[in-house]
Amino acid sequence: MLRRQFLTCACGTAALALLPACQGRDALTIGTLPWPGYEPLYLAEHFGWLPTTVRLRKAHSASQSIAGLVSGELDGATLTLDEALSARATGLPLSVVLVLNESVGADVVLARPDIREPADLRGHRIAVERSAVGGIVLRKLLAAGGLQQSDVTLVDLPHDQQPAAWNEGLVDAVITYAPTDSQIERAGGQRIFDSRQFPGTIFDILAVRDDRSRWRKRHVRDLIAAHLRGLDHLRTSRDDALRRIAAWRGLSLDEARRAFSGLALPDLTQNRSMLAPGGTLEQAAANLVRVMGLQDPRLDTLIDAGFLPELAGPA
Amino acid sequence: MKHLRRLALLLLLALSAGAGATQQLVLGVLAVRPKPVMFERLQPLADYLDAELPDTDITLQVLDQDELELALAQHRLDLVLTNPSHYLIIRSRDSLGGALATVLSHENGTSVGSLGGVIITLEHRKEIAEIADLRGQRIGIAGTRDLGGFQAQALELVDAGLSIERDFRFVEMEHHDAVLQAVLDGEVDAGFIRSGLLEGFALEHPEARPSLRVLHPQHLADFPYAVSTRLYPEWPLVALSSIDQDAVRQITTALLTLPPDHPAAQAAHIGGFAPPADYLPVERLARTLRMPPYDEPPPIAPRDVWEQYWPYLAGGGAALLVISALLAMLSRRNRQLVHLVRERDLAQSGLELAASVFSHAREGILITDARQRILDVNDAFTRLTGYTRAEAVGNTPQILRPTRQSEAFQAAQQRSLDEHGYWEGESWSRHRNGEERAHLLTMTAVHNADDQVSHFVMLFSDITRQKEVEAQLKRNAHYDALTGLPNRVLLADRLNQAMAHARRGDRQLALAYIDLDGFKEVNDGYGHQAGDHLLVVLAERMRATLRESDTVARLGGDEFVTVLANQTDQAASIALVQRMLEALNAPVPYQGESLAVSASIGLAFFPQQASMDADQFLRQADQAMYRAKLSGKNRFHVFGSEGPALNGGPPST
Repeated sequence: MLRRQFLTCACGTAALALLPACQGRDALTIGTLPWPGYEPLYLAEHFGWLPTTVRLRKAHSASQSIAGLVSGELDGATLTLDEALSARATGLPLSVVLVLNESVGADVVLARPDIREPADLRGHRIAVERSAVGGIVLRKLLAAGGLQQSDVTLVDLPHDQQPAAWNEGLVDAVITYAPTDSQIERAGGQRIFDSRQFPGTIFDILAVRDDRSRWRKRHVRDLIAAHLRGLDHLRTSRDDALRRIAAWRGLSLDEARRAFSGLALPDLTQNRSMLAPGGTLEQAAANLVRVMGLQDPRLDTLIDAGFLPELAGPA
Repeated sequence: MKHLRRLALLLLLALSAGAGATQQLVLGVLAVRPKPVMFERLQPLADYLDAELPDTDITLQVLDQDELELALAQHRLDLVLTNPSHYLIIRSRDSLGGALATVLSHENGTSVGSLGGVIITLEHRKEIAEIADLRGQRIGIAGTRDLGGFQAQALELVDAGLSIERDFRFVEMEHHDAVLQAVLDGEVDAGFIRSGLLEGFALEHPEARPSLRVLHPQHLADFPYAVSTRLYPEWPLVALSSIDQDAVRQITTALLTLPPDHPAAQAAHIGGFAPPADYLPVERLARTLRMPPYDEPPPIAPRDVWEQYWPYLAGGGAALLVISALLAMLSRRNRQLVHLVRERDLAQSGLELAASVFSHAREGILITDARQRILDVNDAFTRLTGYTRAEAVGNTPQILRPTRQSEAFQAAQQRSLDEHGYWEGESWSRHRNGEERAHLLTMTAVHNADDQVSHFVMLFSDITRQKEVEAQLKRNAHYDALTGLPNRVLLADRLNQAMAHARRGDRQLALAYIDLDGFKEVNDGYGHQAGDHLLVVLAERMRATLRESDTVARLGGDEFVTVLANQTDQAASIALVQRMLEALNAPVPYQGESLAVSASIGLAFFPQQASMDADQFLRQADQAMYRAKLSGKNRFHVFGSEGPALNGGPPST
């Protein structure tokens, strides 16, 4: 109790930069993006299932979320696992408390029609975003085709520039994900490889700052419960949930349905096993750390499954 | 009338049983709309099934809620088309029955397998703007066992914090069409109907539609109907356990293969059937609302029981009285014991907790007796102050050598302790190693049973870092970063203070406006670093020339201002300015070179006859400086002095 008083007073008198973080010190602010795997949180917000102490802050990009975490404006964020790992590598005290989705086909490689399988990529130009996920898909793709990196030409292209490069014929294949993939598919791209071929690798997670969650354990727990309730609504009242999501995102019902097709959204039971010591998430993190070449990743403190609810499934 | 129909049906059944070869199945349909409308719409579906199943005759019955219940209770139905909430009730009674398929409703070319509830009111009832405004209103419904006509809406009302039992007056009606009509006629303030009906009604009565408004509209993509609630699976077609499995298979196949453009589907205004949906959301809804079949069992009237069993009850009651008296005695003893044990445990664990908090707290804790003699300190105390427990105990908090404590500060502290029993604030003291530290301190007086102060507890944390940051911020705002001299902001503050002071007293105030001569040449010839170095050195020289009570500030570039307070006469100020000219004139060594500048100084005095503000005062000194500059530099000029404008001259060299 005294500690909190101290914090309030300190921010009242000292560094102005601390102010935003101290305002409403009991609340938990979570940065999030419009991404299908995060929709259960938006559903929970819509139906009023989020605890009043939790606020969702909509960001435009993951880097905006990470900047918010660094500045202290955000207490947690929905991120990909590799984003969480790089943020931790800069010294941010961040823990993964929930798996939001696993990519099981949402990350894809699209190629021109004459390229039928990964081995055909030899001597061709591949567009890939310079990110850990891009790197992983590339490694898996090359391995599947029995290729070395020197066998292909890599073109470093951010996501939003990929369709233009494809249309101008600058690249022969693209490593991409939703919703860019449907644009390129419409422009003649054929799916030759996707994340179904290497399950247990690409995850979206909820990460919270340890120094903030320490005093707001209950809020984090309630937030996770709200997400699980939103997820339950998405499962059992699928039609209702998809139509709402489609209306928010300006999609048709079919497009919303397709957006979820490459994603697996784990429930409480699956989260328990994924977040367990030696579980899927720890293995995936260890792989990512190797690919990203991170020093001192402190993987033993990465995952905190202690915020998951006790009972299996909401009553 | 009803009896007659039932008789005819029995006759029909008897006849067909006599025929032997064909199986008779009765399809019961819940009438959400008037019966003739329902018949007209669903008879083709019954005919279609009849045609698809060669050895089976299918008869259609359209029944209202009560009739349907009765028919089910009498096992007169084999197939039922009803709303999902009612399906749950049927399933709870006939656990072998189940949904064969779910209806797809059809509108403008799209088929949807979901339905929702709609809340309608009259357009001109502006006071009913949202669902919370329905409190206390009369609402038309077609029975509470209806999903789209009651339960779906009820959940939204409950979510909005309203009570179904207390906040509304529900008026039950025969079917949804009647509800709609009652809203139009103003018989009720609002009505609950299922999704899709309103659109159908609008087709038939385009003139009436504009007078209706849908409350709490939901935003759903590609859903062809207005809706006020979340969505649930559409109506199921339910097979009761009376049907044999062959017939179930055939009916299911017929339902799932019914094309949307088939006359039967078109007559029924449906897009066919889909495999049975998951009715879990409907089940959860009923559980949340405590609706059948998840409501409490109806209570048995006590009178019935009494009349039947009174001798046993009387005897048992007497025995029970004796036993409960004994039990009560026993339980009281027990409670007393438990209470004692728990109290002891609580005290014990409370002590352990307190001890653990004391030793593990990150804040320094210090406990004294009433005479402020230190009784105990914790580990954090030692870490924060440098004094060990042995050194602190027996001493007073004065061991910490408090600094910056004025008498007023101490008095305020004592007053707060006396009046409120605590004091909280910042306090400065010295670490054992001599460093000054800032603490955020809370002092609390502990009172004994006689309300006398028995102890003081002090908790503190080190905020030296924060104070440093704070001081740094303050410095940045008020001081020039290069020279460390006060900046324009602080100068204005000091000047205003000095002027206020001078107005009250009889002392004079002098303002010197200093502009360096030849600074640009130094900057151009030797570079900015040399120029910066020169400014820093000259700033230091000016500061050394002046007294503690004077202020020298940098306005920017090579312009400085000094405020000379408490001057006895103008001559003293002029002497000081003369010294400053000499100091600025002396060369500054820089990397083996010698940088030389001089200064032009304008001098103004305050108070004067005319009243003026700080800005005017500064402008006078500025003008005087300009005169000095025009008169050949390296000299000063006093504002308002006549003649050749040369009051000073180059110092003798």
